[in-house]
Amino acid sequence: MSVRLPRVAEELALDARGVARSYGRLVALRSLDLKMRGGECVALIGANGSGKSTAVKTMTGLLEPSDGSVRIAGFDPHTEPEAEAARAALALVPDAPLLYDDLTVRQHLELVTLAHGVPDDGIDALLDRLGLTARAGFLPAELSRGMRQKTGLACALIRPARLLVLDEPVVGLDPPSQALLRELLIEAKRAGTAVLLTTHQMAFADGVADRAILLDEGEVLDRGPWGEVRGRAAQRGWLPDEH
Amino acid sequence: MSTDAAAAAPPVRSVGEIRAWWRVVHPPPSLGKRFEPVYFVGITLAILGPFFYGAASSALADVAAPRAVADWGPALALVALLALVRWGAVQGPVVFSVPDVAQLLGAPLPRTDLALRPLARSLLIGAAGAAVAAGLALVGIAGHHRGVPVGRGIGFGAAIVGLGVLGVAGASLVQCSPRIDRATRIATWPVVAIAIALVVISSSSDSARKVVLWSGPWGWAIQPVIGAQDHWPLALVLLAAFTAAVVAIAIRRRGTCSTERHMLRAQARSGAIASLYSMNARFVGRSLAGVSRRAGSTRGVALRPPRRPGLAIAWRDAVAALGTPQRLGEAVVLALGGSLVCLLNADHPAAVAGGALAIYVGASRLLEPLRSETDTPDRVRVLLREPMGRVIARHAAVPAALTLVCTLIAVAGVAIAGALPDHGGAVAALLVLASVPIALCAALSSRRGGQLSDSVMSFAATDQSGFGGVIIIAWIIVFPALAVALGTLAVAVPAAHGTKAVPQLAIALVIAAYAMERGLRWERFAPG
Repeated sequence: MSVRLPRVAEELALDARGVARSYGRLVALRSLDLKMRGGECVALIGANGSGKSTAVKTMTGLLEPSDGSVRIAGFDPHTEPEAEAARAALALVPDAPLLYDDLTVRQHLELVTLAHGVPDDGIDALLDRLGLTARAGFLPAELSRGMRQKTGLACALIRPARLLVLDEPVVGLDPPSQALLRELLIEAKRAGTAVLLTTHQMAFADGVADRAILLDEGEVLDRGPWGEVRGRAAQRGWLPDEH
Repeated sequence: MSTDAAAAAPPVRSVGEIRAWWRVVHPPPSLGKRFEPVYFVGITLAILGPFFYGAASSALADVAAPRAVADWGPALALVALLALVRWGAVQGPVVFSVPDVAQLLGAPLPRTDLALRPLARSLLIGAAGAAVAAGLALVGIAGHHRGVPVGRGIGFGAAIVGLGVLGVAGASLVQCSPRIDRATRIATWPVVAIAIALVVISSSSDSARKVVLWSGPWGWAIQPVIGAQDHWPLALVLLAAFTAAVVAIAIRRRGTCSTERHMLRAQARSGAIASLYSMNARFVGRSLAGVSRRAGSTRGVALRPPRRPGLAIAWRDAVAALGTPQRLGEAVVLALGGSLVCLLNADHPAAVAGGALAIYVGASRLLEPLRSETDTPDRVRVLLREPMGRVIARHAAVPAALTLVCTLIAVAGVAIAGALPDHGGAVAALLVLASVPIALCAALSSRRGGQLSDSVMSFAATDQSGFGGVIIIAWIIVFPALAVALGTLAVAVPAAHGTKAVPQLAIALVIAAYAMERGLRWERFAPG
């Protein structure tokens, strides 16, 4: 059994058109369009409650859209069995790591490689890279918040993906770990992976993000090259610059 | 991570391989260990079974008389079926853990394969549970030496098992499809009304009962024990065919449940299990209700705040009541309906007790703001000025007032219709007086929060007399039982014995209300 995936050049890694999501009368996201090709990074920025996480969850299949359509590597992540192929192309790092209480760090990675049908020979190297080797046999309850976050990150990085999505990835990470994460994201871009991340820490996205979308109250307030959007956002006072 | 590797379409393992890996990581318990519960249940049944069978068969035989089964059976079957189907709105047959949703449902594994085993297990559990229910019902139906022919008994068992399987399959459809979920939610109260109508129609005439018995699966399932000799096999075939069709649809659609719906159920189950460990029934309910809580079901209401600080809590309760119109409607219907039942059946104490219980439940529906205070006692200290006990007592005012008004309206309606019972004035006056302490009983019960108190738990745990369970049950039912007792006394006594004891009863009810209000504001035992 194998998952059919189109060639990178043929299909966009992410193609979201008019994606909207409402919770009752609260419109958390209004008509978001986003196209991403391999090797580029888009940062979704905005204040708390601006709709960043809703956008990410809706585009990755965790939430059903109220309107619009999403394609990941050409497949709809909301419709089974097509979503199976979309999930094969997608690696997601949620804002809070979703880990099994009774599996060690290494066992999490083994499970992910098994479930995705990829060889597990990269586990040791990745654990070493993320500084998790000494904790490989630990359960999530024995890990700090940052270590759990790294375990979730390792689960996403251990398998191939056309689209890597990170929701508030720097929360809980110390500065050296943040620097390491930036390195990993730059490497992923170089390898041709499209990277979509949400953050309200502008400094983290410097040097990583190529484009940015500024959200406010679920609406796209600004979009364009990273440097330009960042500058306009700072001028408007929308986001504090934490340099 | 490389894109080329992704494009190269890696071979995806089967769900069976994941399960095999899981068995290596976490070896399942041995066969002996797995059969331990079966052994304990078996040995307990062997020792206590005959005793319980004697007691239960006698009690069930009184309840499950042929006439009662004919009148109530289809309605009960319909309500049970509805409850099973709506279980899919909060949990359902296929529920994963939160990490499973992230790791397994997030992997390119066929969801149909992932869902098949949990669905099959739930269908089996549904069948087993229904078989136990059918066995209990048969014990009652065959009691008092009435007996049931073997063929009909087996047919009834098979029919109830079919109904259980049908309910689980329906729950699966509700779980997978927001459209079916919405449709069954809208149909809930109409179905309850239909169930009441089924009872009324069944008890009206034999020909009407035949219509009920052929009206759907709820009627077909009862036919083996009360239907005509020639017809019940056909009803059984109809039920089997209908169940098979629904099960087939459920199996076909088993992989279509969205990740969002799986995640909501997984989080609810995780919260409910955590609450169960802390014996907090309210938080169990809240966790599960979170799945089906619709955004927008609670509305913000623009109600002008009062000038007097003493009315702040009443204003907050009024905002809460108006913001949840469904809850307000249920409270009004229950209070009005309960009062009408009490007035129209004043000479039937059991019916009066049921009416009083309905009034109690109605008041309880409006006490959500009070329960919310007990959930987070620190909020009162941060946001409000008054001490907790007084805040709690003030929260009882709106529900008590609404209950009183509903009872007055019911009394006025019955009086205008000329349907008041004997000594109607006294009955009506005492019912109106009793409505307030009944609502206060609900407030006193809500004041304790959803968690069994530490003192009751430790007392029950260390009790050597063997009545620990009784103590816990008594703690749970004390206030509803008190409300039922007050309502029954207030109505049944003047209806049966005239106006002689009315002054004493009236004084007793006023004193009870006063004592309860003081109890509500008792700071020493206030929550938090």
